[in-house]
Amino acid sequence: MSEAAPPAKTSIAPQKVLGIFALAMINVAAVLSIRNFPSMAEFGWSCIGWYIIGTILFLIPLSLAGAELATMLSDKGGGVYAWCKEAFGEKGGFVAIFCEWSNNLVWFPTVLAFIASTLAYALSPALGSNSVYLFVVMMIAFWGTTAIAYFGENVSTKFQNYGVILGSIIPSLLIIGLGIYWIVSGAPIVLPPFSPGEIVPTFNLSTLPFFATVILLFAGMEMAGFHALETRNPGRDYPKAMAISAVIIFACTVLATLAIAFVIPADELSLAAGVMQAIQYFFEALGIPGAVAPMAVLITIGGVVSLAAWLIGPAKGLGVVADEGNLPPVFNRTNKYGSPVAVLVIQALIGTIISLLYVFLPSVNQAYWILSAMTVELLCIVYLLVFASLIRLRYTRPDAPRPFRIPGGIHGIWLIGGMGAFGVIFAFIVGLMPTGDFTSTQAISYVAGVLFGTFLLAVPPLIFLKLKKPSWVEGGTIQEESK
Amino acid sequence: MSDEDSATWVIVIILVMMFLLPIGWIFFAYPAEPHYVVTGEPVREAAGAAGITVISAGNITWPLTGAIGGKTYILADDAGNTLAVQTQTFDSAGSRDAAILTFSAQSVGKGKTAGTLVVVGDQVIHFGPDPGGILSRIGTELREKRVSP
Repeated sequence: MSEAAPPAKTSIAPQKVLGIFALAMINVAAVLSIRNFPSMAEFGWSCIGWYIIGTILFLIPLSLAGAELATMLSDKGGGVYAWCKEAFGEKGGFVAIFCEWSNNLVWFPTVLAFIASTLAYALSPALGSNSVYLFVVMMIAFWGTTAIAYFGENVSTKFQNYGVILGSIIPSLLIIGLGIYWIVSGAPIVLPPFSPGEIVPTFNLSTLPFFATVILLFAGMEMAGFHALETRNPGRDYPKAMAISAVIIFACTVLATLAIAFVIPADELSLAAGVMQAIQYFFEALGIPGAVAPMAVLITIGGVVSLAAWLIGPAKGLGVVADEGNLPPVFNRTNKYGSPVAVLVIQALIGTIISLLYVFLPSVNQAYWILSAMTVELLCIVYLLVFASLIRLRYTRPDAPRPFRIPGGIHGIWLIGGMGAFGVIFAFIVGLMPTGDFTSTQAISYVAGVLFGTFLLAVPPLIFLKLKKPSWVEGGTIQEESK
Repeated sequence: MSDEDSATWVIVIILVMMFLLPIGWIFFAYPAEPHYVVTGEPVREAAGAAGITVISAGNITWPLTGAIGGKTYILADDAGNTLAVQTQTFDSAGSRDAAILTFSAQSVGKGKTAGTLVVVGDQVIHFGPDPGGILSRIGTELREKRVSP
């Protein structure tokens, strides 16, 4: 390595390529997933109640918070980093973006395995149990998406726009349309007769851990905020994009889930063999088994697009952190397309190692539970900081221009921010509760493991800030072309 | 190597370790369930011992490699709560583990899976949503079957 002075800071003007539609599709890509529908359909009518809880305690607060913060801080890149930094300083912003980034690295193998096993359903279901096939497809999807991110906002936005329509919206509309056809054709609805009481979920020790999952069902609504600097007219476009994406996500999710619940009996909706098992049952019941393989391909595309949204957004945020000199120079590489190439490569390398463990170590049920619990806990930290920032900024910067302002003054902000904060704090607590196959000793070990793992994945920003050197700031972003 | 470079590499190593430590620990702290032949019907037996009624049962084979058949059950407790359960026997530890991996990839959003999977020897047992807490009542019985192959 050279001991010469770091290269001069190079500013890279972001391309203003994003409008309302593109921003909305980024959120839809991150949140809307066919994967969720059969799982939620298992709850029958009460899935509506679960969705309403998630909407009131998370989707609405996060959409409103995102709209206000993104428009208020539209001149700053980094999404949740910029929002939380403005409210709580560098430490708060860095911890928020790092938790958003690190939870992804734990979650990537899950979504990658989903992509590989769903594609196997279209090719040959036997491939789904072949570790080598799984790993190869996972790596193609992971590094392929990283390559798309490499080519900058213009390319990745087009990929996400087309991909989300093809892989998420069209399959959702297809399922909804077929559900309507099922009803209109006079086929029997397998759910019990509707009554208002049926939509109320059961709350007890067995169902509480699922509460955390439902709250975070709509996680990702902040994703458009990472693209602030590339947005043409943030003040006008963000609120509209938030509203459009929230409506698309809520409508598609609820209606498609009900469509599946209308057709497949709950006791037949075993997801043990994968979501495609339910999709196959759905199409066979409708007399179109030939649609299963094309649907598997579309759902695979939806999985890749979701991966892309989560892979690109937080990496861009961490790139801003590096740009500001809070990470060592090795993280500061930005290419001619404006992509944080060093962060993307480090992310891909760590994700590859974790995926190797995930696929090739003997599958242990409890291990997956702990990994998913860690994802939940890290996300709760991110969103708690976002809601706290929303409230705090109304006190510390009350007069800052806010093209979109949550109505109701200080009471309105406490109501929205408070609901969101309550939801994620409660989710954090119940997310620690083990379910299923744990002895009491294992349960203690489980909680300790989840907390320790969460701590380790949240604490690096504090270490980086402690070790920070003036030369990191002086170096700034190193554009590959200028080296 | 300058102090600057050393600090950079220390940080990169710290970063990698911080991901690999918890994740590596999790995988090694929970050893895989040995694959052995389970006789009888563990779910039916555990339900009987816990006072849970089996109100219906049937046969099923999951569309997965190595799956050689299993049972579906609807369990009910005295309060009228029901729980859908499916069991499946696998011909090898590899095919059983692949089924566990497939199930684990079906999480809802970025959260957990909607149902619960329990592994007993060569059998994978899937429990659907359990608002009545029936799984916690039969879990102890199932666990006893698992620790004494």
